[in-house]
Amino acid sequence: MQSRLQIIPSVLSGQGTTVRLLIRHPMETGFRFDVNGSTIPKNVIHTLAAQLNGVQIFKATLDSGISADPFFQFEIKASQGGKLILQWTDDLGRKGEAVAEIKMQN
Amino acid sequence: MKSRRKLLWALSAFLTPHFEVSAQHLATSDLLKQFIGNSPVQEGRVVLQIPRLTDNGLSVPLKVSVESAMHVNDHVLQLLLLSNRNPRPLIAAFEFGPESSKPNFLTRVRLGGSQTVFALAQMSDGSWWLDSAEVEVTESACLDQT
Repeated sequence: MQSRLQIIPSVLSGQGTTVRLLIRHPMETGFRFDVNGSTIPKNVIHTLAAQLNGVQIFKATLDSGISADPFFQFEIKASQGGKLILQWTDDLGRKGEAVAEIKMQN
Repeated sequence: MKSRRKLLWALSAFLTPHFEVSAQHLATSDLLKQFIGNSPVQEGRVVLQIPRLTDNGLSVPLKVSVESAMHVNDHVLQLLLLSNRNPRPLIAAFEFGPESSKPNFLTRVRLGGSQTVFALAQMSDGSWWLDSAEVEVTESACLDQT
């Protein structure tokens, strides 16, 4: 799954940083029909988890109320640098991952 | 002429209740009960920002933040985004740990018509906090069935 993770690469120690994530995904609601009149099966990203250095920052349960090509912006407090990992799973069982390295600046 | 009037009356009688039903919003108390039971809810600490008027319900920018120190003893446990008119009322649910930063999320949501959007946060002491915002949606995200 295509995705784009944007982060300010160098963070002043003790300050937070903003993370932006954009995933390419149709987020099919399961309420739509194709040209033959049959239902297009529901397929949404139902779980999104963020962790920094192995510690969970948040875990999100999503549903069809999130727009196609989901976008998230959130803040993390990076008291030390590390590896930010974002992982998600959709209804078809497909998994996606985005990784970024956060460096501290003194 | 008269028969056409009669037909229109019959048609309007047939159609009107249908419109009333489809435009009905879920009552706030019923909606909250589904997710938090009978827990008391207070207004404040949560700030929900969403445009008052939006042309397209398919993608509406939504910003939500929760006032919290995010300490081990005092942090946000979970944050729920609810809709009182979407076919699935739960838009998103976030779970946090004490290691998390102050919840400050920006995302884009789908809205099936003009409605009220709710942001509910539960603190580590168990208390629930609420903010809500009314949105007018010109074009609903739901074009089929619902």
